[in-house]
Amino acid sequence: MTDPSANASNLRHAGKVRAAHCCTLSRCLAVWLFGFLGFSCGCESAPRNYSAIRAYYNYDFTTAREAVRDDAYIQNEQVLLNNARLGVAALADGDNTEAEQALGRVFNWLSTAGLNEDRTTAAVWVHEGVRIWKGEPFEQALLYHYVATQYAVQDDWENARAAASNALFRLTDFGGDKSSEDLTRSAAEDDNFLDIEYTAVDTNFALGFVMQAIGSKLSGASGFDAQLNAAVAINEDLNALTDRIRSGFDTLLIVDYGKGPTKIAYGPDDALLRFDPQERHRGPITVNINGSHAAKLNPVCDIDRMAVDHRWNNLEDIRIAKSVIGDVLVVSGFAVAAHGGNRDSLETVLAGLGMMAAGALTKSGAKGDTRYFEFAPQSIYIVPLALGDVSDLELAIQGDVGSRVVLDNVRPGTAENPRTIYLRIHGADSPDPQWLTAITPYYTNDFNAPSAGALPYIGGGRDVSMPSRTLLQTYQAGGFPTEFTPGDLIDLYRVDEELFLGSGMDPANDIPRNSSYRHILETGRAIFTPQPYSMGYKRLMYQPHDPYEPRSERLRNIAARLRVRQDEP
Amino acid sequence: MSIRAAHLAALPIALLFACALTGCSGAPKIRTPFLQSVDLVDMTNRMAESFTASDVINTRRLDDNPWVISIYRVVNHTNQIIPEREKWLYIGRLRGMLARSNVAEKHALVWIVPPERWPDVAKALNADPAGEPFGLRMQPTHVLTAQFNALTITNALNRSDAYLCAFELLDLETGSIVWQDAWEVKRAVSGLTYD
Repeated sequence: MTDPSANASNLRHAGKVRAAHCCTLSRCLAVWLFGFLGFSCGCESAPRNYSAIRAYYNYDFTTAREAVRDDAYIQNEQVLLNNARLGVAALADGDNTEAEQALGRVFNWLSTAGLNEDRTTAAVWVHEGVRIWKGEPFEQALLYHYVATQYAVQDDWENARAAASNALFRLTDFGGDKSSEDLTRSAAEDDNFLDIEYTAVDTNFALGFVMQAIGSKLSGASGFDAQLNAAVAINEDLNALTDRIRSGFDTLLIVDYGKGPTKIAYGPDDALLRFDPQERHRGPITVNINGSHAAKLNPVCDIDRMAVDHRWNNLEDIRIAKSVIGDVLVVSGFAVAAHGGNRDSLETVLAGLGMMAAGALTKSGAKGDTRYFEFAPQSIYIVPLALGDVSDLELAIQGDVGSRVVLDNVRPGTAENPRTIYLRIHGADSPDPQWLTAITPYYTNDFNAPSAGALPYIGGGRDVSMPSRTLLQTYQAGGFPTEFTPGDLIDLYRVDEELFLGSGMDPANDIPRNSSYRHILETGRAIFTPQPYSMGYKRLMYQPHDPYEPRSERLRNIAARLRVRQDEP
Repeated sequence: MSIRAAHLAALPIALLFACALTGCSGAPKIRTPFLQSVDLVDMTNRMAESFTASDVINTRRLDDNPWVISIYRVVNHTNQIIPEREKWLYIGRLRGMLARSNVAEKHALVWIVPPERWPDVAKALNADPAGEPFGLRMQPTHVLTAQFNALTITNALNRSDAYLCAFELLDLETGSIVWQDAWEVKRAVSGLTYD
């Protein structure tokens, strides 16, 4: 027979234990949910770099580079994307060294097989953003094209051809004009659809064939005719362009126009992704030489069209699959946890929580990865020209008055080694600064040499050439101290707040420092001449900048002496 | 608590840790089928051996008219980017290997810096570009060069590059090839190529 008071005591004890259990369970639940939420939120796509994008589309490529430079040196999931941004902005800015470095890294990562091999599980369970961004196939092809362009402007057509060849990979074709939703539906109906129902087809990247053909011809590799024929087979509109290439040219324009498509997440759990056009205007490029009409050519590449072609996209299927699995697991997980909580079963509650966490994990993983290459243009044009002599060029995208660009005194190359000019022209949403059409440079430099009597910018003049013996003689004809040697001139730059001779030539340490990439004309500390005729060159040389403010006593004295001489009648 | 329930609870924990470890951090590893520095060393070592063992070099005597040999960079016909400095490096290392041996003295060979390369070399040596090194104005009689070709096969899951790196010594007067040899290698990587 049991003691009633003992029974009551046991019951009270059991109640306390149960209450303690419930309390522990509540704490566990809270820890689980907070921990999970923190984790899943922390792994979402990196936010877009709006300051870089804004600067880029305002033609301020130097500021855009500054906004991504530090990130480009961080080895994380965004490293390829940040180097692509840095490299393409440097290319537009006319900084060949930084463009080659950044795009060289991009080339190596793009060429790496299984870049995300260890991250697929994480991408399914956590978020697509944990994968190293490699871009959609059309973005990869574009980036190979930029590597090729970067070598082309440096007259290295061997490497330009090599890079262009890599853009010509085969595509996965499911037939017809299928949207990602069509493919997802088919995949849901048939588990094997995505693995067996496609055909590997040859690329339709005509731009890649055109660049490869030019590279083959200029580097002595074989395949020139076949590659041009392949481009025309893809797009008959290119006949006019290929005829021009075949008939020979001494100047080649590679022109990017407009804002490429933006990547949007939509649908259940934002699991679906699509690219939406952003540029309203499109049309052929027109080129005048010395005021006379010389060429009118259609774009070789329409990025808006590539972005919506399922052959140039991937991974839509896994996103919707994750979303569906996530929904199912979350719902069933809540039911089990609630049931266990009511019955005070620690085991059941833990099991339910496990299911909930797993479900929530896949649900968070369902969110589409909206990272994309924001610097992509809408259209790309290739314009071969036979100038023969120094000429003024005027080009514009037909119908967009703000796209007009004037290049004065363009010195052509030769048929064997043409001058290649890359130009980034923005569309109607961007400003059209006066310097785009200016024909008189304000500053002389290493490419546009100063005449006798010119003075250095740091001494109150308008020359920003790299110091040399010949240059010093030019300055001295204008009253620059005759006791100066070339070494003294170089010291003058080094002493005055450590000005750097060359872009990015910061010798102090390995940490990239933005001021060493920014020209002294734009309040930076570097003196260099960007790639002639590039947008960076035009922006720096074809508009007035504030006078230089000497920091050192010595330079202030020299500037004062030169001012006095200039003021003398 | 049963083992089954413990497993169920542990699963997401393990996943969280796995994802945290593999997902949100870590540098991407570059894994390409491209030529590497070990290839440069092996290739130029073998070519130096081949050059010194060749009949055309061994039949030359000390008192023969000297061959004045200039060098020219590698011509890149592969699908790999080879920066300009590396194109010179392949030939430069071969020349360096040969210059270190006594093959030049024994067989009346004179190595010269190509005139178009002198400004770069002077910069590297901290020398005056306006000055002249020995032999700059010597008329080269031969040129040592190389051409790299590759057959690239890519699909969604693999990429392979079969390289043929051909070196040759050209007689500039006759245009004939007096020595040639080649180094071959095939490299492949597996894994999604455009994932």
